[in-house]
Amino acid sequence: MTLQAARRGADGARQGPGRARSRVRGAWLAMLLWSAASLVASFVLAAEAVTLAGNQDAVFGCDINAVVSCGTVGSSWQASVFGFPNAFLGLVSEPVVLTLAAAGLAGVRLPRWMMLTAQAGYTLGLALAYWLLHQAIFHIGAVCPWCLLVTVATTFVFVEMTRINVLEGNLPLPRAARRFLEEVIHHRLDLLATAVWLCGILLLLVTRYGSALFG
Amino acid sequence: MSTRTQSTRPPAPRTGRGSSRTNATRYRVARWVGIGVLVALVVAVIAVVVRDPAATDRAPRAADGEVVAPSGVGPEGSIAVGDGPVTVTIYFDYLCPACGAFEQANGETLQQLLLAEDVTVDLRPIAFLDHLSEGTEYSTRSANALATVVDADPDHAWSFHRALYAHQPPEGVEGLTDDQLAGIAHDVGVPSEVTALFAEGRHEGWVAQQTTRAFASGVEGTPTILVDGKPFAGDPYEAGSLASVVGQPAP
Repeated sequence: MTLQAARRGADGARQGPGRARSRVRGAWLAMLLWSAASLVASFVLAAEAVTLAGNQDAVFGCDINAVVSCGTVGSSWQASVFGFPNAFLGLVSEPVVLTLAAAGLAGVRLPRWMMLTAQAGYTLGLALAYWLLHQAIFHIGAVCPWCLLVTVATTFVFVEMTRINVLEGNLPLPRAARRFLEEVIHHRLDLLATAVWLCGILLLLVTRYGSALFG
Repeated sequence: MSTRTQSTRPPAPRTGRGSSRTNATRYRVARWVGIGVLVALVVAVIAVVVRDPAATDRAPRAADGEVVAPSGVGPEGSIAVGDGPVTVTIYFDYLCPACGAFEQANGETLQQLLLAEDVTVDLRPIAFLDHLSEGTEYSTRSANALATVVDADPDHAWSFHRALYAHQPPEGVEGLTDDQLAGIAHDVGVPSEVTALFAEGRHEGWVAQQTTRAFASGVEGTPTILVDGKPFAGDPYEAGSLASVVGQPAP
């Protein structure tokens, strides 16, 4: 791998077309799976929101204790920032991402504007997911397993989508920045950074809630 | 892996792109640093989970973990008020807004029924809303205060219970301090040597045990109202609805 990197021509870090293509395919597949996971979690959360709307004191299978509680999180105002349950956003946006990923995996070369729109939209979704996580940890005082799955899945979909957009040259970036990102992807530092980030969040959760998280 | 590639790599960097090799090294270093950070994080997570016996945000209390039931409570931890033939059991959390609504609707009715010696009120304070008082664990502290009064000055338990609802804080704020709880108790006639015990948290372990027990026995939320052991059939939030539990022939 490094040998190849050293042999690269004056054009810098451009990878062989075969390798780049297989990287992109892998990213499409991961994006497909994670967006499916996020869709499932959104569906469960949306169903819970409907149940909670009918019965404020409804108890769910994921109301494990005071700290791990869907009911507590679901009945907070943050759970409906825009006046309707946040999970509805997942229900309408994840199928779009899922379809894009399926098309990409099938070999369709999606137009640049479409991928850029998806990237912009998903960046907003990522911001919302992390704002909600912050609210759950520091203000609501409880977390819910399905919400955490959405956070993790959203993170991965974002990372995979960004990787595709970097490898396919969709992002309007200066040459140096693009080269840097390509190297980062080439050395799998993007995955490593994601893992470090998620482990950091896990550490935050366990230090704040301790073993109460696990029952 | 890095050592292997190192040895097979051509010794001299390519002409004109001398930075290519240093770049590759830099990214490899970044990778190892990243892996190191990741391992450190995983170790930290494991350490926290293994070391931490329970999540505690507030200052520890002298009696932490110990289960000390107040004297005079029943075998299941029931706090009996009055001596009437019909038993009205109420599971509640002092922070729960629905419990406050129940008290508003039926507190006075229960008071009348107690005065008429028609009912025995069986109070079951539980604490499951501790996370909704900004880390001050109001549910546990208020239930502990009641247990302390039951233990040392049971004659004032009922009026203290009602006074706590009259001063019920909303969910999501800090709740009342131990001093404020002591003030409320003092106002209904609990002597200050008893109210001074609130901050010790002597019965907090018992409150926790009662909470676990309540949920294990099928309580799903608060208020849960039982009449002679059976769920109250009426609307608990309708004013005076509990009056219907007496004066009816037993089924």
